[in-house]
Amino acid sequence: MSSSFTAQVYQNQFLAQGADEVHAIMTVTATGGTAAASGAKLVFGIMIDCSGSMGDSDAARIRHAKMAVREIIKQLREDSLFFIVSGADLATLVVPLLPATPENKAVAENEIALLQASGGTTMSKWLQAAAQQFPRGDSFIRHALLLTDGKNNPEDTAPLDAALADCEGRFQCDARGVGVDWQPDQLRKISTRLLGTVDIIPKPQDIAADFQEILQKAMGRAVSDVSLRLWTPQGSTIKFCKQVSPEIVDLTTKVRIDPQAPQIRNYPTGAWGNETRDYHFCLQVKPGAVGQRMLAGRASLVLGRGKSETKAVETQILATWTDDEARSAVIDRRVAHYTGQGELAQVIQEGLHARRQGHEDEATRKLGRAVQLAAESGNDATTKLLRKVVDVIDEHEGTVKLKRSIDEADEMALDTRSTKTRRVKADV
Amino acid sequence: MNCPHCQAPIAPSNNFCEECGTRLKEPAAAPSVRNETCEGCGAGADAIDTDGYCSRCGLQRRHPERDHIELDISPFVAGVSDRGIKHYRNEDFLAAAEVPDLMFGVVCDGVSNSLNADAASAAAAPTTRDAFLAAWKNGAPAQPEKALHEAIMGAHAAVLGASAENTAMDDPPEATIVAAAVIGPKESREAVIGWLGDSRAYFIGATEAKQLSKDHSWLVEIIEAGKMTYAQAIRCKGAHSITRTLGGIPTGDNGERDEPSILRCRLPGPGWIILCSDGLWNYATELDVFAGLVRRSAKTGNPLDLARELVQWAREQGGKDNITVVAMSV
Repeated sequence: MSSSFTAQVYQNQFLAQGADEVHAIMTVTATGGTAAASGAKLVFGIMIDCSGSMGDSDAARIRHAKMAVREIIKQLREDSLFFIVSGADLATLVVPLLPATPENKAVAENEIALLQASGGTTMSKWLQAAAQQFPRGDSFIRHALLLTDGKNNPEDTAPLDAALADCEGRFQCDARGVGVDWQPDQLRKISTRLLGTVDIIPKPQDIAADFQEILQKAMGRAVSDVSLRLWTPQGSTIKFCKQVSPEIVDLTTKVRIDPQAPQIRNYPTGAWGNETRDYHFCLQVKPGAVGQRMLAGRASLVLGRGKSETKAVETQILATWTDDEARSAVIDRRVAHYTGQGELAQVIQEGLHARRQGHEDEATRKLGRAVQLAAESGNDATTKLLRKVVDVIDEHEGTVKLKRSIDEADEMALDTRSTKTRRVKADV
Repeated sequence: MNCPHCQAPIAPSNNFCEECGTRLKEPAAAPSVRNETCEGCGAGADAIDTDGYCSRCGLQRRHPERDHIELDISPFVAGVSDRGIKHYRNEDFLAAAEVPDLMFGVVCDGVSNSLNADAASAAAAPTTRDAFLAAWKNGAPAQPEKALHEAIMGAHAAVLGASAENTAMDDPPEATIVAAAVIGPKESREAVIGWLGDSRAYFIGATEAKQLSKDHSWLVEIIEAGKMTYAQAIRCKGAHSITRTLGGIPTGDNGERDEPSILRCRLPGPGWIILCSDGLWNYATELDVFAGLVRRSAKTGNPLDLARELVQWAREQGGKDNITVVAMSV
């Protein structure tokens, strides 16, 4: 069976006279899809950090990374393709793009065994090497995994941006940092630009389990290159378009515009397995008169691109102007929830930044607000992470004290997982 | 061609709809082609999608044919419904009939917080009239109160069924209703009134005036309960919020619908039965003001002239809401 999509919009379409901002949450669920049925082949690329630091402290990181890569290669379905890039100052194509046959897996195993840690970290090179291996077209689920244990070469900042621009749309990438010597902001940039996830693997022995999860998710993907399409009336603007669940991914700047159809905006969402995602739109429209109703937007999911595209599902976003304040003052609870989750991610990142800068008052205030928001929304996972960084005095008031000494891994976990949201309570 | 009021097919030669009695506007007075272009941006009819939304500016087309409706049933029964000035569309509706020994009128006001308020009122009014006429078919029913009660209860379903274009996010449609059956021969007339919400029924005679219905509103209920005086209650926010409606969200645990109030009374003498939406009475809340207005407006003795005058007067006061009036000369 191929994937079937359903979508539902949640909003309060009643606006006060003169109001021009329309918020809506769209929940999209894909079911029934399997890669076998859709005919989409998985192409799985691995970028493994082989810089010198991976060999430090008894070479635990490189050893565990090699074991983890070996393990996932074994599990690849034979109808998929794979390649391996070892990354340092340069990128080395250890295994070029090959079908995952038993013979090719054996070749890969030998090559993995030979990997050694030496040199620096220039991630732009790794990504460029990977981009060259990925075939084009939506008949492939194109997914990569990047593992590092360190910071990127400071001179590589601009080249990394250029490489990411080049990779966008060509493949998706999950970024993982092992240990605590890497920079969450750098990996978050990679995962955000390439529609993947970011996370910390505090201990080298946990690399295998994490990789396992990434591969399972990639193998569960059934349909590639799905776009979110927003039609809006003339004279309106899209203030933002974000994925808000399972994690926050701001799609606003990823927009693709067809000059032939200026009322239509397309946003890439990558490949889909059987899953549910929520999106938050904020549209600015020309206000109507009281009693008037407007179609403020049509949101749809589009499979494929160009001539072969098909619309999978479509929903309407409405605006109705009213002079009844009791109606216009209502904020849809899902809109409120995800607005709160967005603020939660922001105050965590800002709070941790302030803490690193030594601005304790600001850090205390921001992280206190985060504790309050996480509690209100029932985001227990984030509450747990926050409690490793602050001592909570009053959860509901948001009063906290910064812990005097904290495990750096805990702080990084809070940072990297700050964008993970909880769904609205009744929906979980 | 279809009746703009009840959508029944009509022959081009007819001056009145045979189904509901609506006077069909003279061709010269009405635009020959219905305006199908977008009222927001002027896009052509081909830019309007099947849901009525303009594919350019997104605005939904309202129903221009409902801006002003006149019902000229007989020299004794007539009604006018008008969009007013401030509202973008007319969410009120009306229906009326006259058969031997029965004058019947009904006014419905769609509750604006439901998106299909206009469809709700348009479904409720004719449904109620038709149900009562069906009960009347073989002469006056033994219990006209019961017949009217049943007719109004039946309109609940009509309102809820009017949500063809509803989306899941909308509240179920809702409307108020006031209906009056004036029964019996001229010398022994009685009125049976039924209502839900704050659309009203009045009797206005040459000297006597009476508001027959009692609003289902927070204001009236709080005063009735003795909890506040009028002066205190009127200052509260939402004092005019209505407490019973047709359709809407069920009030009871088992999906029960609001029960209409029913009143049967002997008419004190000749005069007018006026049914109206709050678009009229809100400009004349004092009974003597309202009575004076009706008497002044009834100079010709023709119910259509009276209804037109009252509607025009409400428009002149600002026309903040839709205005609907049914007038019955009794």
